[in-house]
Amino acid sequence: MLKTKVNIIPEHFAATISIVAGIMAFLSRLGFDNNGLLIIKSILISLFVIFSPHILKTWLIKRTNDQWYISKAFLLLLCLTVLVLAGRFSLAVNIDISYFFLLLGATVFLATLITYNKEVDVRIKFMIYPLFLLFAVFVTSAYSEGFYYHPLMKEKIITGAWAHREAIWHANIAEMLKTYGVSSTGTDGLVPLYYHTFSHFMYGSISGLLRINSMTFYSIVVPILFIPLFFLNFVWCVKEVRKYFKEKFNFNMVDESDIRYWLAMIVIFSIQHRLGSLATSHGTAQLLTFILIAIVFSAINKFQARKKSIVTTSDMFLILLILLCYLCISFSKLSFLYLIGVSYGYLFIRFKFYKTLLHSLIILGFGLVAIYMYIYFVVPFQGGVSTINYSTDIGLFSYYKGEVLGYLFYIYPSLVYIIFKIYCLKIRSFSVFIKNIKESNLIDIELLLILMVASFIPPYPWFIQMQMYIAYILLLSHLALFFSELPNEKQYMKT
Amino acid sequence: MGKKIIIYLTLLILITLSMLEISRAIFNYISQNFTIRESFYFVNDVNQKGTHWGAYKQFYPSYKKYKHMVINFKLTELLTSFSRVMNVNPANSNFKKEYELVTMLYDLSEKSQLFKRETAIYIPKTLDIYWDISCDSHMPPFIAPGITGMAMIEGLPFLDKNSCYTHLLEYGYADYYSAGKQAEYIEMSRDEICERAKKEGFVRVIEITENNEVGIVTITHECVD
Repeated sequence: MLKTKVNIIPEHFAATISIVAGIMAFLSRLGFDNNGLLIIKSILISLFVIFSPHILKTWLIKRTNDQWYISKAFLLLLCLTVLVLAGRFSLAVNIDISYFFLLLGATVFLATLITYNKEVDVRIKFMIYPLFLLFAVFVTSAYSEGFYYHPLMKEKIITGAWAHREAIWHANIAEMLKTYGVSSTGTDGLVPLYYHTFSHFMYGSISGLLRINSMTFYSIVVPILFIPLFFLNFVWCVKEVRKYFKEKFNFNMVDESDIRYWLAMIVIFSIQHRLGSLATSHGTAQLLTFILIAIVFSAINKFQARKKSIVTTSDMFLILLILLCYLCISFSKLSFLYLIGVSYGYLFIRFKFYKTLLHSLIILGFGLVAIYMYIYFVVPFQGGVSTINYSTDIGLFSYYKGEVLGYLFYIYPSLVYIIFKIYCLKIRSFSVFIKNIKESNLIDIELLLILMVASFIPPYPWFIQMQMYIAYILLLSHLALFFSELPNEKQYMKT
Repeated sequence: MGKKIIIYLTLLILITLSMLEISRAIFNYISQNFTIRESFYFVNDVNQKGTHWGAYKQFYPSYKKYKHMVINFKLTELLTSFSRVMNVNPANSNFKKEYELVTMLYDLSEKSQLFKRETAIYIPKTLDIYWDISCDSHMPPFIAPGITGMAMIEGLPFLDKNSCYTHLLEYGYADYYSAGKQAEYIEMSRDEICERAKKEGFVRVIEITENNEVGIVTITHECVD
């Protein structure tokens, strides 16, 4: 297996997606008014967000190595926040500051590229980069599945070529938030819309930084900027979760320098994906959830390495950050409030976290966020009859009956993971299984089972995806364990 | 030996499935591009554009045709179509008025935020190019605010209009109806426009309308006393 000194292959993977998405958008628009400069700007801003965490981490790690805030996911969150704030500033003072980020992106990218070339085995590139290219073309194409978004959005609207209300509606809310700072559709004045609109706020702000309207942002910039970040954070998430399980189960790492890791990822995402929904609130909520998971697991790994149980000031900041992320995720997609809440609630009871101050503060914060969201969003949302009530309009029983078969297509990654893990851990009897449960060796399986049930209970179809991505993270983080079962592959288990 | 065969067979199936899905997504993307370009040659009829049943007569057949060409690698046919759809001129197509209108909205989106904050858009229901841009009667109200970044006044659609996509209370419409708002006017006078603008807190309204001589025009109504 080929090893690297500094592993920034995930960053190169994300950069490939960004560049390919840019090229595809440009090619798609050939023959129509084509804004090449916007595409270059978007790519460079994307590169700024992708590579800055690495530069910052390299700088920070010289000062401290045992703090959660040197995790790349957190540093990326900071970069994203800077972009959003810069967008608001640019809109407020009416000055185009996008060129500053364009230069930053180019500098950061070149700086990383020069160092990377010195540190990485050339053979890795020849094996992995063709896969990156294939995956990049695939995810950019998949974003347009379902006919919602396409680089030819303007033309879709003009000719009515399957220009769906939904796609235009999201751009609409983002624009209203951008101009008036109000969540509304602006169809007849600015009547408030009680809807989770954090993603619209984010997209609106960054479109302001790029000096474009949200319609162009959703159709051209999202695949260049947000899809790469989605996958980058997914990979970081896998990395942190893998570190945690590596210590727990004593297996070697199958990391990003192993071609089989990327093959597995491509197979997993291509067989079952919902990439068309990445532009909507769901994509943002999922992206923020990946960031949250990566930060939390990074903190756990650092905490275990510290081998001290003293709560420090930075731990208190971590709690604040977790709560802030939870709030933003809930504002992006309300279903995530429920799913993350249920997951953490389960762990809270299961591990008797109520005995520790740290976790008690987190659960208290989660409760406050839930109450706030319920009073200010759920109640007015239901009062406004803004959506179908699936339980009453269709009939609860009919709903579940209709959904149960389709649900299998979402939970099969979880089922595959559960079966694989039980098999690889050589759990061959029920008593051994129970013993492992009692010893908390199968907490990942417990959590997946909880999520599978919890996702199915609410009679709405948009609860079911999160557990699928959690299963993907677990599957990829356990590759070494699974590979150890392959013939002649015992080197993955430590002796 | 048996275990080995099962493992490698499973891996082979998974990789094959994956490659098929990847190809499908890429073929769909290419076919969509061709179809959207070809849509400029479609008949410009409100019942034959948009989503759902509006897409049955023209969009879907064209999409299927291109998908078939791409999947079967019919390169000669694709190249012939390519030169046809690449040379499409929206300004000289069946949708030239819609092109003019949407381009105008894109131009308006470049106004400063300060200007936008004080401005609303008004499009009278007589401007069919806008209100009949899709068979989904509840889609057009989102286009102008979504592109220009300015809210509309009197932008709610009439509920009795036939629509290819229902969900008439979703997408924030219910919030407007709960606030006591509904579509009232087919066309508003300047005074009515300004009265509504003041009520909603705007100082000016850009009216987009059609002029028999020039085509689509904008009239800016300054509504300050």
